[in-house]
Amino acid sequence: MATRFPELSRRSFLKGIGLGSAAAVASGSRPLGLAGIRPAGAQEQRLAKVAIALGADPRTLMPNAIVDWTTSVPIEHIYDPALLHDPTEEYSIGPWLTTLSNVDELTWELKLVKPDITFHNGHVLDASAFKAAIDWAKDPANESHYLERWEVMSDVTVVDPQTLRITTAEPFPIIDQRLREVHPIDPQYLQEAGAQKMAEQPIGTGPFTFVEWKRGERLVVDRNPNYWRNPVQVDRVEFRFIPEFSSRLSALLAEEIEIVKDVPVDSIETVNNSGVARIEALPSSRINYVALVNNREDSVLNDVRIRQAINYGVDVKGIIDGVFQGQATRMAGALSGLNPDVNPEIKPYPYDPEKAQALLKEAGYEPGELEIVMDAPQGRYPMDSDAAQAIAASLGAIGINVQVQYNEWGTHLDKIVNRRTGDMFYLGWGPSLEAYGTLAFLFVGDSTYSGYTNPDVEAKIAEASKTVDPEARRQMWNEIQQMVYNDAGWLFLWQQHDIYGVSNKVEWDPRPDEFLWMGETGPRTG
Amino acid sequence: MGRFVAGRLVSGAVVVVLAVTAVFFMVRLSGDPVLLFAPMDTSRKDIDEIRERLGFNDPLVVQYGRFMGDAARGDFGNSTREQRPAMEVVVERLPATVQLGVVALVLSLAIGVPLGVLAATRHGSIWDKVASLIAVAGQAIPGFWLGLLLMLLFAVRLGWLPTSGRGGVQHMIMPAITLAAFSTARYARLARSTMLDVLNQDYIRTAQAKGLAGRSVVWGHAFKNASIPLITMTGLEIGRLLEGAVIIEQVFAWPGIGWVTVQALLNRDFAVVMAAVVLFAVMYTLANLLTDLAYGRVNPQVRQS
Repeated sequence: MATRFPELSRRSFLKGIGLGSAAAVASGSRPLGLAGIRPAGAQEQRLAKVAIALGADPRTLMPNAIVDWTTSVPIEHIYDPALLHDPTEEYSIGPWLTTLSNVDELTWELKLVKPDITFHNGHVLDASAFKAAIDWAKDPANESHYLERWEVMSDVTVVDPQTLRITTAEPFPIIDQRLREVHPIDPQYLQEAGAQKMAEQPIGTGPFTFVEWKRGERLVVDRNPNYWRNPVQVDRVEFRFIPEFSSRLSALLAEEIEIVKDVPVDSIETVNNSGVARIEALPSSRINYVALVNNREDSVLNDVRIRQAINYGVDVKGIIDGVFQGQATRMAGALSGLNPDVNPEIKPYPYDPEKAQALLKEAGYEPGELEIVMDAPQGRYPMDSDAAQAIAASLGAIGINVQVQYNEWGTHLDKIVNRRTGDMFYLGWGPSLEAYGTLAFLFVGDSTYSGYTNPDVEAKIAEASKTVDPEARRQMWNEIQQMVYNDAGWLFLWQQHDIYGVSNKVEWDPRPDEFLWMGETGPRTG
Repeated sequence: MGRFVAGRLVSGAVVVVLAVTAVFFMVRLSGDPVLLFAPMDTSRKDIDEIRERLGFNDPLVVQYGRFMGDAARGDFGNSTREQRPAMEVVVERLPATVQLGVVALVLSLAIGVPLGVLAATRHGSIWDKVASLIAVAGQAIPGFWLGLLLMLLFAVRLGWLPTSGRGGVQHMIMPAITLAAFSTARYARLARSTMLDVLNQDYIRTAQAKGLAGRSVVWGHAFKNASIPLITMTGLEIGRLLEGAVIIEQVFAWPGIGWVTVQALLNRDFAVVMAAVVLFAVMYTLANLLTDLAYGRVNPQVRQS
């Protein structure tokens, strides 16, 4: 393989972009299985059915079209991705259908990990299927959410049936983040049936084949007996659409469904004591923060001393212990602790009300003089309204009167984008398992979602985004996080915990990237 | 009769247009829909492009004119969430809502009316007190809460019924009872009060004095006259059942128009909201027309006037 980076070995380069094990996988020297899953070849035991409750129908079954978790979950059972976060490599992006390697700083290649993978209709998967997927999403007529994300891929060429070459107009070292989203489609089926039929009768290479979708009721997929990765241990997966959470929980306890996401913390005990289901919880890569708006002329939070005072004055750990019953993980800076790019040197602001009051005084405010409106959503994030109230109470104790303004989610977003919130607003972001997905989206341009603008930070992000050397890039991400931290860009809060209710009949471990997949799930034993 | 029906249809069409107009402006004033169906990391430039493409940058009056013009041709636009015709999204949910509404209406009539008549004919007795208690409870308990309680008892604890979804008769029982609870109470109260009025009339005493059987007096003479307000209320109840279905369908994951409308409102899927409003308004107007026709059949004075 050609390379133009004499200072970097190919191994260190791939390691840097999280694909260090790609070659090993391609050669079959490393098992492909996810963590906690029984190895292939074990005595085959199967579950007749696993029902998963979702809050709504998917928006479509056409892959590469819509960015939406509810839509992705069924699609990912039918279609395989090109690449995927690898739990054995700290969730950096690793191989799945393909491996990724670089030719030079503008050219990348995807290579199939196996030559004989087939679609459910028997057609052989080759590089043209990846090209078809990318071309379809990049056609403006198809209105794909991925159009903008994949614009960076200026040229996509099939080199041979096993190899796809991708060229970018400028160096884009985090191309793996984009290729992770690509789900290959059968070009012949697309041409013959059209996208609409494909969205109604999807045919992928995944562990399950499509059976039926009764809108508003259920979507059913059956075991693919010829799945290329491993024997699938679930005969049927049924997605049930239940909009109300209490009803989803009841369905779990009545043993009608096997998996439900986002169990409220006050229902954890109920599930664990039910005898039929258990809680599987883990820190998510989704973060929650309170934006301290510094990019609006009239904001009182343009003064860094007040932003710092807020960080010293809120008892974040107390709120996690009290409101969340421990089901949240404190984050120190702008990235979650799960993020491989997190700056490990940054420690959370300590809870120090005296220091907070001193900073306020220095900024010219006596206790009780400062009044701030904080906008918060209701029901969008775990315990969001209670947490917002607790934050307001904490700040009240140091002499900042915070009036919490609760919004319906759409209104909340609208107010943020159009800069009509108070000087503080509560928001979440993720899932994100690399720096770019958070820092480059939140702290550049309009910065409406972060409320924080700093030209130095913005310039550094632009530089880091184009830096190919992984060590140099990591150093830059670290500096950026330190700058945002020192400047108290946000009130840094916590990583959400993903809390799932899971039937005791099912062996399944959640993942921080929210990949809810039955391809390697089986019956629970013992 | 033909002119009567034609007149009511014209006024019904006016009601539909007014309802659609009011909802059109209200949902558009609620905020930007593009922010909800585009991913959060979509650039400002792309959001502006989407808004432009969907016509959300035009003045509201222009958007309204375009919508009414298209709607007159039966085109309600595409759902922004599902990217298919909005009316198709709504109409495919219609059978589920009609099924639930009809069963709930029949249930509430079958239970509420006899209960009210029983309370009136046994005025002051334990039957009257029980009927009053049921009527007050049915109106006081929120449907949402009642639904969850039924679910916990009959699905989770006893395992007799499925928690949610649409399927066989078992799936229908809890949503129908929950939806019917309020209407049953209203029918019981109205039937009781109107029957009490009628039972005190001279002609009822005359009938009793002539030695007619109690059952014949109650159902043949008294109930016939007492039923006129009940028919009027049925027209209103159909509208209320549609309104109640919005919540009950959410609780029981009943795949009807109510559920899809709530989801569309939360997602600001304007096209689906408008298609649902049109359908709701048409159904409500037709129900009222049928009520008027039935009213005229029962009361000849109305027909003549």
